[in-house]
Amino acid sequence: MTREPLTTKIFHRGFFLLEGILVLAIISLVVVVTVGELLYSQRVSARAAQSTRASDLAVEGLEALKNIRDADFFALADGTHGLKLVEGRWALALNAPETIASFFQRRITITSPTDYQKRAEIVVTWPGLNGSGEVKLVTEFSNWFATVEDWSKPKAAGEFNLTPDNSGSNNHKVRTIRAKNNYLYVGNDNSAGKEFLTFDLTEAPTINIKSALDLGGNPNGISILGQFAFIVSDANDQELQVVDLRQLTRPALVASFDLPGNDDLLSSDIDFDNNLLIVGRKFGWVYLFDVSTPSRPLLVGQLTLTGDSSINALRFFAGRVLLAASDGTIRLIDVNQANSPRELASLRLPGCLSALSLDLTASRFYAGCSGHKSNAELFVGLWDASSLLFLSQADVGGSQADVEHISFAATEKFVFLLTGDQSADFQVWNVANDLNPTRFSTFNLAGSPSQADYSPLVQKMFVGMVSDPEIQVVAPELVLR
Amino acid sequence: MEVILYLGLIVVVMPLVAMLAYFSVGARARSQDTDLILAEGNKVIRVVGQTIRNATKINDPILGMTSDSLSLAVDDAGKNPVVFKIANGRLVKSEGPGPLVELTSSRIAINQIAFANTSQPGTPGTVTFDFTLASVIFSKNFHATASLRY
Repeated sequence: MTREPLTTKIFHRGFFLLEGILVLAIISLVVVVTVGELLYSQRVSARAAQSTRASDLAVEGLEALKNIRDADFFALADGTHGLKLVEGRWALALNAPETIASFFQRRITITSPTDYQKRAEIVVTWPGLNGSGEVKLVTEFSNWFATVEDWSKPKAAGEFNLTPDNSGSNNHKVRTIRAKNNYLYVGNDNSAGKEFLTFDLTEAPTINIKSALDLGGNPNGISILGQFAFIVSDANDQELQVVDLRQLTRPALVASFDLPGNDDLLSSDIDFDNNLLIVGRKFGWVYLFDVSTPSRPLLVGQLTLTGDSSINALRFFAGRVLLAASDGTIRLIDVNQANSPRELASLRLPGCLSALSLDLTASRFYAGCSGHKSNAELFVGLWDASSLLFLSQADVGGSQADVEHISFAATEKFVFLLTGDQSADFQVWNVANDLNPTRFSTFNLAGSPSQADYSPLVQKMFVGMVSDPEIQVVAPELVLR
Repeated sequence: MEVILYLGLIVVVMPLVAMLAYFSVGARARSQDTDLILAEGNKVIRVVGQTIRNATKINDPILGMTSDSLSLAVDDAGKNPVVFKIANGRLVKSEGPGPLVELTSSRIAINQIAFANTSQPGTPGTVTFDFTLASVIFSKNFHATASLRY
């Protein structure tokens, strides 16, 4: 009989224990790995499902924005919003990002790279064990219904004829005209009838008369502040007239101001920030009125220009006023201190006998002159807080044709002129090149124009005439952008 | 002794393995169902969404209303109108007088679908739709919106 060595016995016992531990360890490992794999796979699957749902929500945001854009491009307001259904229709929940199913958050951020473009960023986020998830879509929407004005072929778009029935007299001659928002305000020649007329432009080019008011004297200019009209007139006892427009069908003369002497007021403009009305008079007088209480205009400052020239036109901009004077000069006035306005600079327009009309931007001025003894009636210049600089001039054609009115169209770098040229009384000039303004197009109005105003709201020019029909509407072609 | 140990191990391990196998098979079945439902749900969203985008008009439901079927007008006279609805537990599409085309398989059921005309007035239109796909062990709700092009 052989005996097993003691060491082998002990080894076998140890091996037995070791084998057991090893088997348990392998089984545990397999179980842990398998369970881990199962859990991980479930998590991945859940995350994939959440990601898909988030993508669907982001796409839904995109599609809803498309529909909102189709209804009204400007409803896509800048800011960070959510979406909501209002009476079953998609709308933006302004400044209120939404939480969906208590889990996803949808944020829509809209910005405006240009006037006719909107950039939308739709971000859907959700919480997760290993950090939050995010799906982001970015797109741009265009206002492709937006139109641009093509002034290459101005056309007649409408007219209004003053008659004894609507104005109370046979004497019709529009002296001044102002378009503001959806309304047109017209100053008619002094007569036994009505001198101040208001029109509704909501159906433009059809012009609907709203009211007519009897005023004393000839209205030479109209400025609108809120629901009040300030009329500068040649009436000796009420050179400044204030009309309350709160009831547009029944406007009322609520105040007037009698300036010393009998000289006519000719022009006006408003500093809207300071409720300051600036008016120009014959013989170089400039007056400043505080119109914070429109029905009680308060004379706060005045100035006499050197040279006694009449102030045919004036424009306010950022504490300064530019004046077109009858001695052929442009003047620069500081009105920052309303009670002590002062003349800062004067510029003689070469060959200009009398400056009749004026418009300006932050750095340029455009002036129109009397055609008498002048070979060039349109002037372009630079201005700043303390100086004026002549840049160029151009001949508007015709025989001694005056430039009665000038207005600048900011978007197109055009100026619109009313001239005494009978065959081209309405003219559009391209002033993109300051040194070489060029005539872009012309239009022959029926009769002679006196003054005009452009309404950006209805994209039309309203021209006041001295003969039938007294109001004519000139419009550009509107083409899709 | 060794036999007892192995028996003990088998007693401990076998239920574990059985449980694992059970869960693994269950998870696999669930995963297959989930994948199938997600795939079919996404296919429905793509097909219905693209048909809406290409349509010229929403016939039904009318503005602000909800319906269990969607009728769209399309340019192609031979395929006009395109209708989506549930038939025999499946989502089907018909184009004009053509036959019904099943968009979901027999392995899953579409329990409900709602098409809402969420358009702003005066626009080509927008449809928001919501449906639930279900198998024996899993169900999921889908939700999407699509707008018609000009």
